[in-house]
Parts: sequence; structure tokens; C-alpha cells
Amino acid sequence: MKPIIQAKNITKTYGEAPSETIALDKVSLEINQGEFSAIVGPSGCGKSTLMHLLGLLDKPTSGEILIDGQKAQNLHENDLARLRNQKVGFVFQSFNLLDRTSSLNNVMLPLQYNNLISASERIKVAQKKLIDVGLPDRMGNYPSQLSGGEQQRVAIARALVCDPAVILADEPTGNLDSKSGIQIISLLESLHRKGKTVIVVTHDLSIAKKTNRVISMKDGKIISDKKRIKK
Amino acid sequence: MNLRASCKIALIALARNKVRSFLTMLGIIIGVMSVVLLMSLGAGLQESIKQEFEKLGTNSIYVMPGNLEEGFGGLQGSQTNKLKFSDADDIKKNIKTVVAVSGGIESAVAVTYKGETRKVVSFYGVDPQFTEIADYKVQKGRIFTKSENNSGKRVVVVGTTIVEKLLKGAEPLGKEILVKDKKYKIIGVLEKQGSMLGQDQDNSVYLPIESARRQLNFDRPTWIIAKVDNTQNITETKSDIKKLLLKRLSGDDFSVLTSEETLQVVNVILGVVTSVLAGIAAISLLVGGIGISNIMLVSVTERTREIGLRKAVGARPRDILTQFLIEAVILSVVGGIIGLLLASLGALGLSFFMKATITPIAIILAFGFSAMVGVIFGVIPAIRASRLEPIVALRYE
Repeated sequence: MKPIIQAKNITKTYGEAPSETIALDKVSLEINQGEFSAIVGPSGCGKSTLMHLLGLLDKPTSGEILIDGQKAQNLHENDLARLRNQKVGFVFQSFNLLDRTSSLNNVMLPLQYNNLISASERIKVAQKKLIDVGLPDRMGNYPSQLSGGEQQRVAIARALVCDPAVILADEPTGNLDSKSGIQIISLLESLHRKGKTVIVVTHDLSIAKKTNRVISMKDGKIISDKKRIKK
Repeated sequence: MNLRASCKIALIALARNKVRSFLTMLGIIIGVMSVVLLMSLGAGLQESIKQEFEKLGTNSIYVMPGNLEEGFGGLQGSQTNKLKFSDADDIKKNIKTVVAVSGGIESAVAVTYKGETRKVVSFYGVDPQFTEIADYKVQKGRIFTKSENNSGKRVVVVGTTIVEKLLKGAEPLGKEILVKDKKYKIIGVLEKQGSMLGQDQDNSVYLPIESARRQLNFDRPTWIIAKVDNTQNITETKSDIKKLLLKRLSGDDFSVLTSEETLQVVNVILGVVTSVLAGIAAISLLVGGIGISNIMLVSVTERTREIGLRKAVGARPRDILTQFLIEAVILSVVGGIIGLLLASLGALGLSFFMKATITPIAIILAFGFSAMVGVIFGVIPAIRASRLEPIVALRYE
């Protein structure tokens, strides 16, 4: 199977030695195409830091990250932006939608920075993604007019709009009630079934159970990595 | 991301904080308005003075008291006017290229009609030959003749203000008024000239120069004008006049200027005054720019999460920089346009009192300046925004 993301011996520290905080301690990880993985662990274990590094939002102190075969090391800020745009789709705990901006325009945001899709096609692509996440009648609504679950679905549509190699979701249900949370997880599951590579960071074990790979972390290290064939 | 999309985003962002955007713009509006208005006043003044000179013709040479050629010494010189009317006669007699010469008197006098007195009226003692050159048109009656001048006849030509205010609109021709307590008969009324620099040009009386000299005790000319036969001889004649006068006077007592030089002297002075005033006004533009910078910094801080998100979905530093820079430039350029419009309105309003001309240079400067202010003062906040680390920006609360 083709690895989509490879992390080789990555370390992330904050602050200056000797009083530095080690968030990630020589972590190596490979995520293969089509996998639905969960990164779990108690707060402060470094799971969010790992996700940010995998999504190129942050740079490791040492070690190497490859996305879709491309080394992210020493890349210019512009190339990193291009990789984030084309290869990674983020879903955040707090949705991070632009307020007073319609769902459609929120979904189109990544397309503004993507020159592979022509301007005339952008609206169509964004509309399609909103239909895919089940919001065909919410395109003109502002985030403030949507429920939490709907906002997160807009965010997922936004993550999908550039057809990325991997979806990274950081506690996607953390701000939702359990019913909406279940809907979001089944949406992520359906993306996985359609062949998307999905990584979910969560401390909710019931979510982890739905995935086919659970990576457990503690104190900046991976303590277990269990793959299983889902029933 | 293309420029049109960036402009659209900037406009939406600015529209979200309408009051704030407007107040920020106000600094630029006031700055551009004052710069343009002052420049237009300067240009208007220059133009009206130029027109005055054109009336006098281009083949004239002026002798004025004091040294005008070296700085502003002439201002002191005019207090100790050493010119004499005989100098005019000498010039006429001795210099062949001069076809006509006249001294002129400019002063302020009291004028009385039927017991009522206007205390301050502009007084001009002029030679009728030179009133022709000066191209004054009469509304009524006529201008005094050469023989009336030579014989020192008691006649006067008045401006329209004298007719309106002193004669209360009565038929002026043939009426007698007192100029410096001496009786003069009105033979003509000049066409209305309006005001210049707030001074009423029609509140004036014109006497034959000979009458003024003989009857009103003006013993020194305020100026001497010599008309040269041919424009080509101007330079030569100028130095001849200078040589002639140096026999009697010292170089600091008088100046000889051609119309063009006189215009240049005036333009230089006006140019300096205009630039100084516009420069002072430009300070308000600077303050406006600082306002933009300040509000853009606030905006960047407020929108830190938005910046983080944009970076997370693929915005390059350049995209973020452009976005914020465009916002700043829109603020300042729109402010500049409004300022320019207000300045045009102001110039229109002022034109009732004095000439104000909005020159293309003023417009270009206003645009250039305001766009420049936007870029210069927008660039620091924009750079700050573009350098934000995506993860730091996303974590910002």
C-alpha cells in the first residue's frame, strides 16, 4: 500500500534548553492510502502537535515529514502553502468558519488559493461538496444561522473541496452534542468508504472504535499502534 | 489569488466595520482636501496675477523702488522710495528704444460725496496712454484723454463700488466727488473687476497722473513703466535704464524688471508660499496615514484566527500580504477621492471670493500621495499578518 504521510523520527520541543518542553519525542509513523486512523491519548500527550506537524501547519524541531512522497523539509513557505492547499484538508474542533460569510463562500475559500481549478468551476465544485455533506439547502446561510453539526459539515466540505490526499480532523466532535457527533463521525466513515485517507485526533474511545487503526500516544511517544480489519 | 478577488475580500472586510473604516478614511480625506485646496488657491492666485500682467503687455519695463532682485529687500525699499517723476522724463528723453514712459501712483485715499466719506479707497494716478495698455474697459463714459492728463484736469474714473456705495447708485457721470478733499468730476466708470485676495478691486478711483501730482501732492511715483518699441529690444533697454538711473541712485534704491521677470518674482514668492502651506497640510495626511496603520494593526490582531485559517487552507504569505495591503490602499485611495471631491466643492465655493484652480498636478499628487500613504502605512501591518505562523494564528483566542 502506498504511504500518504510518513513521519520519520520527528521531535518537537517548545522553549529553550535546558528548560524546554518536549511535545513529541522521536515519533515515526506511516499512514497508508485509504486508512481511517485515530490518534488517541490523554490531553497533553502530543496528539494535536503530531497532527499539526503531519498537516504542515507547524515545523518539527528535528526529523522528516513526507506528504504523498514529497519532502516537506526545507520547503519554502509558498510550497508549504501549496501542499496544504492541495494535499491536506483540515477539520478543526471549533470549526473555524469565517463569520458573516455564506457556507458556499466558506467552502470556496481554499479554492481561492488553488490555481488548478478554474474560477468558473469553483462554485460548482463547492456546491457539489455541500450536497455531498448533506447541506444542499444551507449554501447561502451564515455560520451563525447553522447548528454546530451543520457548521462542522460545512467545514468538512471545505476540507474536501480541493480533493486532498488526506483529511486531518482534530477533535471534530469536541464541540458538538452526542447526536451531531455521531452524524459527523458517520460522515467521516463514509468518506473513508469512498477511499479517502482520514486521520482523526480524539480522546473519545467510542470514535476510535469506528476506525481501522488506533494510534495511542502518551508523553510525546506512540505507545501502541493497532491495525484491525473492520467487521 | 487574483487581484479582483483580493479587492472583493478587502471591500467586504471594510464594509463590516463601516464606522471604523470611515473614521480612518477621515484623516486622509482631510489631508488630501487641505493639500489640494491650498494648491488650487496658489495656482488660482498665480493665474490671476498672470492675467493682470498680460493686460499690461509684454513689451513693458518696470522700475520699482527698492532692490527686488536680491531677495526681499524691496519690501524695505518701498518705505524709502527714492524714485522721482523726473526719472520717468529722463528715461523718455535719453533712451531711444523707449516710446512711452509714465510714472504711476498707487495709494489709499479718502473719497467724499455729499458729505459722506469712504475712508479707504484705492487710488491710482495713471497716464491715459498706459490705461490703454492696461486694457481697462469702461462700463460708462470714457477714460481721460492725453490732453486732460497733460493739463491736469480735475476728472476722475471710478470703480463700480464707488457708484454703488458712495453714490448710492445715482447716475455717476458729471457728479463731483472729493478726492483728498479736492473736487473731481466723474467722467467714466470701469467695468466690474471683482475681488482678488479678498480685496475689492472696484473700490478705486483713477486720476490723470499729472492731476495727482500737481493737485494732491504725490511727489514720488510708486512705479515707472516704460514701453519699448520692440520686444527684441527689451534686454538692451533694461540695461540702458539701469545705467541711466545709477547716475542718480544707488543699486539698492531701485529695480528694473521686465514683465516676465516681474511675473517670475511673483511666481517664485507664491510658489514658496504655496509649497509651505501644502507641506503643512501634508502633515495631516501623514497623521491620516498613521491612523490607517493603527487600524490595520488592530484589524490584523482581530483577524489572527482568520489569517491562520487562510494559511491552513493554502494561502501563501504573499496572498495575506496583498489582502491587507489592498485594504489599506482602498481606505486611503477612497479617502483621497472623497478628499478631492470635497476640495473641488471647496474650490467652487471659494471661487466666489477668489480664484481657485484645481490643477492636474494637484489631482495626480492627491492620488499619488494617498495611494503611497496606503502602501507605506499598510505595509507594516500587512507584513506582520503575512508572517504569522499558521498554527500560532489558529491557536490565538
